[in-house]
Amino acid sequence: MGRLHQMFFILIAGMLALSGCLAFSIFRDASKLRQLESTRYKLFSMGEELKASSENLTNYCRSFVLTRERVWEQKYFDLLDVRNGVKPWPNGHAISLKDSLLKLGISKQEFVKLMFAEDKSNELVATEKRAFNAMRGLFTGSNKQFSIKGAPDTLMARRILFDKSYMAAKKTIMDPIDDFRGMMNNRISAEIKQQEVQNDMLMKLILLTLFSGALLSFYVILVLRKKIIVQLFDLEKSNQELELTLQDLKKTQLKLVKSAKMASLGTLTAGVSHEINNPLNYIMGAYLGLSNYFENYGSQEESITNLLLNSMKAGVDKAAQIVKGLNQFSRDNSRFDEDCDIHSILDNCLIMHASQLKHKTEVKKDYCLEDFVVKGNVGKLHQVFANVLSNAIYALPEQGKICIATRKETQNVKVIITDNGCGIQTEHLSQITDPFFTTKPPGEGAGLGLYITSSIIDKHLGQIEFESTLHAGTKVIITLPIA
Amino acid sequence: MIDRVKLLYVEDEPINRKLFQLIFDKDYEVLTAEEGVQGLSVLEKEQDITVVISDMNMPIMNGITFINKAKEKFPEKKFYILTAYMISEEIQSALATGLILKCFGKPFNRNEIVAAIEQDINSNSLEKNNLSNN
Repeated sequence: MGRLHQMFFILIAGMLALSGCLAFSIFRDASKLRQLESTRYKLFSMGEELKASSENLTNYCRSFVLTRERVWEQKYFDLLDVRNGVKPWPNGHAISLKDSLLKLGISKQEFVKLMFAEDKSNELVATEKRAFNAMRGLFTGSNKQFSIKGAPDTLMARRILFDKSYMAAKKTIMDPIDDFRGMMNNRISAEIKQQEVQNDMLMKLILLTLFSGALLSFYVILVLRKKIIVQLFDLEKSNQELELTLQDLKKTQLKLVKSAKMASLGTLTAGVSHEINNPLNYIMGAYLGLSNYFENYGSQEESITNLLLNSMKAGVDKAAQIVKGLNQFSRDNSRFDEDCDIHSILDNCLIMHASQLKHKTEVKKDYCLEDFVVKGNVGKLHQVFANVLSNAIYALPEQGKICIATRKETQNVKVIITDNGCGIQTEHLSQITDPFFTTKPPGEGAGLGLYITSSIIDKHLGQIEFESTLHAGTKVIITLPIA
Repeated sequence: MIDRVKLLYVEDEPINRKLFQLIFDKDYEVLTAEEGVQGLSVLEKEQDITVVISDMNMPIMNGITFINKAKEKFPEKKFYILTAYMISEEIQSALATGLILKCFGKPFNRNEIVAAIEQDINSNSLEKNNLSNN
């Protein structure tokens, strides 16, 4: 495919280059055409000049023989000088008409005609010179030189310039000039015609090149489009795969964060509860020992010793309950078939948050009389309620109220946790269970709490719903199927 | 009066051992050992021990390992665990296979322990009676 592309590219580039070359030659030919036109014009006007100057010469010498005024003779010779390139033309250049014509480039036949015309012209000039000399009294001898001197003969001069042979000789000049002009005109016209044909052909070639170039480009675009669409499709596919991978990665990261957190929490609570349970065991043993002692030997102040003993027992029981609750949180197992007593889990969660709730919060327990057992994971359900509770506590004002209610609904238990805290903004409600979504300042929360909570509830085939009014409070409703 | 039930308590913490002895002295004849190896040798010497209660976390070997070894030699005896840890998977499977009859938590509940032992011993003697009657 790559090589084919390269070939197409080279072909199109070649066609463009060819069109460029052709356009350049048309441009060059056009300037040649203009040059030809201007040459024709120049040659034409020069022929006209030759004709006109010939007429002028005739007029000047005739005027002289008729008027005998020297000025005409002077004009005649000046014009002759200009024509022969001795004196400058009105444009300032001194060049003979013949040289000018030769300079513009003429054919051999044209040149012959021109030479013929010149010869005839020279002959006419000789005739005219004879007339001038007759006016001065000089006449040609046998040696063809003006060797014979006599009285000026105006009549003879007039006869020379007006007789039939002069007219005929004059015509013999004009005819070759006309011929020359005709030949020259035909030649240049033919050249122009040829140039035009050539231009026409070039134009057609350019059109052909451009057209085939366009066709080729169209084909390439078609092929490329197909390929691009395929590539786009591939790109889209790999993009989707990447997105999936990213999602997986996020989930894995979450799991890691969660499991790392829970593992360290589990290790810590297991260690701490062991270390606390052992001394509690001492106290319990001592309490029992003392109880036995007083039973056997009696007490002098039985009401006091009983109070003291009962206080010991109550303290040990409470501490043991806390440690047990703590252990429930960090139970590290993945089973979802444990019997979970919802009321005792809720109580454990309240014990865990007791220090945060004390003095500032009024907690109202509105439990259903019946106890509920849900099949699931005890530790994870502890996390659920503890998390919702801790969110409620976070949202509370100085003096807050939290109500925990449980209700039975056919096959479900509903746990309703209501607070009178700051509430949740409406636009945030749809996002609060998204991973890493948090409105807490950086460092205070990872934004995982409700995400983990809702995924645990999902695993228990339950539901979590939120109802919230800003600055008035939030109601969280958790529905779980009863075992 | 029937012979008092002989009980072995294996525990590495001396205070716990002494307190246990003090509390259960009324109900049972309590022998103690500091760890598993010592516990095994006590069992060898005192063949009429019927109940063995062991701590979980001890030097040399843990409670379950000790009970495993003890049960090999004395399958008739009643074995229990008394631990400050929560119930681990190891304990869970020991309960499931019947290696131990029950797992008690610390701080211990005297009544719970006494009730469990009474029940297990009685059901055992009932079984025996049934067998002899048949």
